[in-house]
Amino acid sequence: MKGSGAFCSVRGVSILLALLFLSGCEEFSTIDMDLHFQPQLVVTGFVGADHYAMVYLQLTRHPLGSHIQIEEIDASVWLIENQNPAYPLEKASINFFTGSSNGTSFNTYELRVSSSWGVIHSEPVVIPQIIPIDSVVITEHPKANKNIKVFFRDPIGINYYACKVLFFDEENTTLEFLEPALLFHPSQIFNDIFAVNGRMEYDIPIYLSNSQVAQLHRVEVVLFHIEANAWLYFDSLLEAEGSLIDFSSEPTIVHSNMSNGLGVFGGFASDTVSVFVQPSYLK
Amino acid sequence: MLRPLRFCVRQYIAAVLVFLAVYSHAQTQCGYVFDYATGEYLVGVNIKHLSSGKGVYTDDRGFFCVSWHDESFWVVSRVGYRNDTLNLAAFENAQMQIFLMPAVYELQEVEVVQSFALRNFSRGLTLLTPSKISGIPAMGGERDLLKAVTTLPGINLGTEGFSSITVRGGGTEHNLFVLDGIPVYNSGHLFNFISVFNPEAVKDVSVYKHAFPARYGGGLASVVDVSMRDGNFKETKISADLGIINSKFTLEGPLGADGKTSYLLATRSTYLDLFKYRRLKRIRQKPIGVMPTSLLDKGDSEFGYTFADVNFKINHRFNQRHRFFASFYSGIDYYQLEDVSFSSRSSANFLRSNYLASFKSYHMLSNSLMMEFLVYANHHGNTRRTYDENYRYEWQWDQEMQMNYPRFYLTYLSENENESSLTNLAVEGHLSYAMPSEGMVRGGLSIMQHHYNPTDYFRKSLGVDGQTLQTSLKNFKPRAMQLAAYAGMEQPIYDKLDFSASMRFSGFLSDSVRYFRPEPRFTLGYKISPKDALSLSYSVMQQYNHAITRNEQMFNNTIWVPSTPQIKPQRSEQLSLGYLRLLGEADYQLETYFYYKRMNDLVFFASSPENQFLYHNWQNYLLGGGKGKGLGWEVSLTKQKGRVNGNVNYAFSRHFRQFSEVNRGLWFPYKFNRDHVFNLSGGVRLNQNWNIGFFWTLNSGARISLPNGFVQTNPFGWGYFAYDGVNNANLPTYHRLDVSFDWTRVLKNGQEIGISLNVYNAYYKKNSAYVFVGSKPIYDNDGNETDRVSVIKSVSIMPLIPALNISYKIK
Repeated sequence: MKGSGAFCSVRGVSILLALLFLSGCEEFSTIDMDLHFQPQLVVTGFVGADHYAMVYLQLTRHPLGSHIQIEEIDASVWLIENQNPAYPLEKASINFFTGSSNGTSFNTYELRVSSSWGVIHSEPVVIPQIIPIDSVVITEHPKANKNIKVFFRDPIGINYYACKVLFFDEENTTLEFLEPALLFHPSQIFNDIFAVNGRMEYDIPIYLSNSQVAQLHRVEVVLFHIEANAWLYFDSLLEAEGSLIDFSSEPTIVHSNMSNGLGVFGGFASDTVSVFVQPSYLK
Repeated sequence: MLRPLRFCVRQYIAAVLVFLAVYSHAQTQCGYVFDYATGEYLVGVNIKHLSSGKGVYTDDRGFFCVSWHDESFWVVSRVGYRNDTLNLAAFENAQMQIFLMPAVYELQEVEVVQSFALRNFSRGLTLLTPSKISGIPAMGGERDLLKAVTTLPGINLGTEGFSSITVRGGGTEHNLFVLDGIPVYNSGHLFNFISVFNPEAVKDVSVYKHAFPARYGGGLASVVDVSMRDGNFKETKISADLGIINSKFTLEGPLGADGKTSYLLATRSTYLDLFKYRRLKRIRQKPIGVMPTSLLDKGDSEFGYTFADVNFKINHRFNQRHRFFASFYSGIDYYQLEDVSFSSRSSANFLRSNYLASFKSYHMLSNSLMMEFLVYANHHGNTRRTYDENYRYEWQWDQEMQMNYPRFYLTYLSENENESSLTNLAVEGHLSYAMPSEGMVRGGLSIMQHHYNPTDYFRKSLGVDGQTLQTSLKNFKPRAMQLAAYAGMEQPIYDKLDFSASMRFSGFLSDSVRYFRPEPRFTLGYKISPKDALSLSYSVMQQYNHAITRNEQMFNNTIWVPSTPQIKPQRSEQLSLGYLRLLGEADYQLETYFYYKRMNDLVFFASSPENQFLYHNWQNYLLGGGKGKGLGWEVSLTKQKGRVNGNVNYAFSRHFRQFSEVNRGLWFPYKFNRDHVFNLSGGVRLNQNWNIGFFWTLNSGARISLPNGFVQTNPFGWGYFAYDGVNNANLPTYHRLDVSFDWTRVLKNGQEIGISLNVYNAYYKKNSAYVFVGSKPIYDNDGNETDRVSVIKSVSIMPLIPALNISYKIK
């Protein structure tokens, strides 16, 4: 073909330019951007069935700032149950307030915080019913990861769950724990939850080292039945973790049910089951 | 009450009778205009009455109709062609076929100025031809249609480098792309860096930002109608183009000796994957358990990508009155990732496909009545497959071999496949009637059936107890019928006014919904003088298909879903006022527009689009009822005559969105709006062989959301950013210069060779693509690092990119 020699040399140049194009294009530089920082009061609290209310207050810091020392916030925290007159929560430690009585399933609670940043009021939340754990089974398969099966019955309606597992040795020292995993039927059906006729089975894989297995004495499973605000808070918190450093992705707004402020007030009910384990089960 | 009504009716009938009496003595003639060299029909040819100066233009089928009372001499002209003067009376009662001779460029030649301006200005049409597209420097040397479109005021790229566009505050999913009459749902190749429209196959592009013709529906913000070339009716031609991103091959010519049939075949393909094919194969076949060669050996990982597309078209002219063409397009994007390490293996591949097929015919039922009939099908699909294996291992001693060896236990295995698609089948019919009054009456019907498959999901995994689990989700596949009927009239009035009004009725029917919506449209053009014009337009558009966009690593994947009882059709209405001034000998054109736009029932995907499971319940997460509003001002000055030509334009705009679930229900700035955009583009033809092109843009940085605080870790959870608003800040100002140097030479044997050097971002401006929180060290006087502070870091991804392209054309 005429001109093929010229084509070959030109093709070589093109390949070099292609490699330049493909060799990586990212460049980093530091820029100044005004973040319009103003400290805000954040109220985070929960109340549970057979559990007292817990509320933590804090101020936001500058988005680019380093960790700030906790300063005591002068505030009053009030809890309203079933629209009865509000009663104050007691300060248990710096910025941490607790109630004196336990919550009750199906009761409605609201939180009110008064401070120099104004009055912050939560939406009413209803503590859900306790969902009992039917059983906890630890399966034994030496060549596969071990797992814990948690069985419970899911009532009619949209229900939200979280599950926490703790591993203890004979002295009741915590060997390991699994962070609460958010479960939500039915969309979590593909993440190791199966439902048959309303009976839920949640499979939790165990990742313990050989030495931890040797010391393991007791496994404690806590099943939380949480209401929608708590679910949305933790779900959005998980999502926000992914955008902690990237400002160009869609911002994840962590759920809040507070008017005039940030934070969340949610309700929960829990059931706990302990299982004593024979180390020979977990090889 | 009835007396005034009867009076009005009598007056109306009298006016119509007078109107008909005046214009019934006019003679009407219709016909086509073709390129003499190729036989293809020509769009935008001006047919001007010699004595009165009134004129018409050929439409997108090269068709025109004119009326006159006395003298019948007309001048036929178009940029790039020699003028022709005809006595149309000689063709009385016969349909005409006019062939224009291409003009050979000469330095002293007086160019014919294309004065589309006054006529198309009132119709809201911007026409881009291949010469305009090829004059815009391109990234990687790949001349791209959509990037050329972004040189127009009011049209921006969504994200730098990518070909998704936003028009006057609309979303990237609000643009209706049409290829030879077929809607195109996925407009991008190569991670959306270039469009699916092969410039070698494109005849011209009609862009509407407002004043949408009634035949179009389904795109809130714009219509980009791409017409494919017919192919050369006279002789066979071959051209090949070698570039750093892809290569092209085009073959066209006549079929048969009668000159009535032509074909065009245009193909493109990358060869980026050729460099990596063998390595990918080796990694795929490599077993696990291979000992690393060093501490730095992390295993093998490779990424491969390819795209290819084919355009094929056949045209046949039965006679002067009947024409037929069949058009096909097939395009794929495929990437794969292979990774293997000592104790794990994973692979992923992604396939995106577009298939289009259409059959179209034109029929001249009489000298004034034209019918167009179209049947088409299109399919847009995405398939993703992933595979993961993980093992744990224990070192065991082999007594016989006297060495340790790893024993592997499979701990995790997962295969996932996710598929989504949208398939359409449609039939359309359109009528155009040329009235003796020089006006046109148009009407049409269309019926389209949609087959949606938002997601089909299959997963096989090894259960934690060693059992294999299979999960299959066959999502409900909704179907819907979309109907449309329209009628409208275009009428020039007393040489000063150009009026058009139309009504489009569209409907959307499925098992669960029945939506019927009117879409009125009107335009009014007023010619102040032969060089000045005003225009006013109002348009309503409905969109029944909604897009859920998902980021799949480097792909920006879009899934289309229908309107439901909860998700209503999206709607936009736009009012636009414009002014046009032709300067000098009509070689400069100044245009300015003010517009106001409102949108209702916009949709919003309420959860992270990364979770493929949520597509199974998309109805629960796709929220509607959103609102949009915005206004803008655009001004543009174009020079279209002489060796140096170009355009400078500026656009100011503000657009906002409001969703009850976002930003506490407050209005917030729209993400893809750029408040100020300034563009300068043009070309310098040095001589017959050398051409220089340039494009410079300066605009406000993209919108981002910056936090105004950070909530530190507390007893109930980890820390997170707090925001006081959405899209509350801008990235730094963006500007960039692209240049191109083109050399072409016609060889002695008539063949043509060309070399093009394109430089993207010629002065290497490091524009921010995105920002993130990083850290910067603090040093003491001795240069020791004492601390680190958080800073905002900007990432730019488009450096200076040179590209060389070689083209060769064989006749």
